[in-house]
Amino acid sequence: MSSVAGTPFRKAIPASGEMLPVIGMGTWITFNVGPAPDLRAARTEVMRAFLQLGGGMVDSSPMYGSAEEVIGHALRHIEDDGGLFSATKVWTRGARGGAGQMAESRSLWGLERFDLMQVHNLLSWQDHLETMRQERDQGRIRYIGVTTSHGRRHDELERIMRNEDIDFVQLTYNILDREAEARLLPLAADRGIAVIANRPFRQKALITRFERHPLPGWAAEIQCENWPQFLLKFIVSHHDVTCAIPATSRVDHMHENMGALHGPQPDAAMRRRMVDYVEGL
Amino acid sequence: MLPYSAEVLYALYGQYNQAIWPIQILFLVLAGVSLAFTLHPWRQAGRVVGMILVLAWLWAAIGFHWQHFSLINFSAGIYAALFAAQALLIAWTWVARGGTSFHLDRDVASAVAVTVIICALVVYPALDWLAGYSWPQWRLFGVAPGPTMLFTLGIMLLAQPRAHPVLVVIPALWLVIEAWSAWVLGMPQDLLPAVVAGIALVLLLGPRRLARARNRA
Repeated sequence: MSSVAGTPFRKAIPASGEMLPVIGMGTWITFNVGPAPDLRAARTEVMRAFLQLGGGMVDSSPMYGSAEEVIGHALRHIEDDGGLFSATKVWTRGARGGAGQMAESRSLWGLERFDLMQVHNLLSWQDHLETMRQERDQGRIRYIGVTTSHGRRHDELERIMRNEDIDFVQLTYNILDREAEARLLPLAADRGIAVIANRPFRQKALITRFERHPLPGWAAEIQCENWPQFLLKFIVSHHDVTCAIPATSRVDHMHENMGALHGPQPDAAMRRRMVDYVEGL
Repeated sequence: MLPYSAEVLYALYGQYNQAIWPIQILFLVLAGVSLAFTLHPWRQAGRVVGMILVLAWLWAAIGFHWQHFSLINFSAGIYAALFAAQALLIAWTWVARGGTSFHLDRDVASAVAVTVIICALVVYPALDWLAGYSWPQWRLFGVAPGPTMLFTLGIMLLAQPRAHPVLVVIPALWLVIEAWSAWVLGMPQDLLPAVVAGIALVLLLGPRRLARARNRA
């Protein structure tokens, strides 16, 4: 397990200047454990470790089965969730069900207000952005955003970023999936939009692919002790990325991930070196 | 892309089996009744066996997909509708219309049918056990979709006249869904049932002479 001493690396949300820890937590698959008490207890420990280690953003969606209910279960059992930055999504076709789904998410999490509400995979985004603005005006949402994943629909995402008033965008960005660097990340910076990087490990595939190789010796210069930290530091060191949201079902892996909050971050030259190294493996 | 892991799926089966106990016993008894009617031909056998299969597909639709699987899988509502549709198809073709009987013969279809039925009733939960999952996490005929699909294919192989192809569509679709899910989730224990079901489908949909070829083994 990595050291967690020192101030966690945070970045400002452009819309407000509010500081957010650069490592968040995704809940796709990992928190969809249904009603099983032992699995719920295990996920509670994962979230407890996340918050104790300085984490902030927890991201979920109604699409993730029981994940929101399990998050609510965990939050009820965690004494101090003061650092939580709650983020979920609306995932329903058409405007009619949007407000009801957001209300259900608040109930499942046990919250009166979400920090961030996002349109899941751009589904009926025109309808939902309108509803979300109304919810924000009524104090039930602080920030609004839209999401994509797997590098899909970037052209449509770019149009939304150019034309709509949104605070966050969520997209896939990792050491091998860097398409967003060309247009979307600079555009986010220009428009003052915070960026959440999803699929930082390609759902574990990058860890599986790289873990049989040693970390390069120079990874110690940025205090990377393991591959998850190497991969996460690459992502969050991009100037225009606000945070990454790795998912895990294990406390020891959470400790590894959260180690990326600490120590020096790679500069441009080091980032190039990191890409060259993994592409040569 | 599935929203759950194999660990969570088996945990769900564990909770589900505990919640519905002892319905599993009822379905195992009904499976025995079905086999008794297939081994001892009777004019109304098709109707009785059909009703048992209707019950099994409806239970898997409502009891499993709708009430339990939907907790972890947003596609479960669609699966529930598919299973309910299969129940209706069996009800129409075997129960309402009647005229179906069963023949166990010394041919390829009968040999495969016996293998498929054993697989559905015994091998499926045995493979779960060998994969490290103990009761109540086993998948059983009537309450779990995989063994229900497999058992139905076995019964269809024994049916006279031959089961209408429309009856095979949803089981075939479920075979594809379950095989894909097993591959994504890393569940090699589902490989053998999938292969056996695939062979049954070939016999049910392929040339009649293939199914009725004499078994010289």
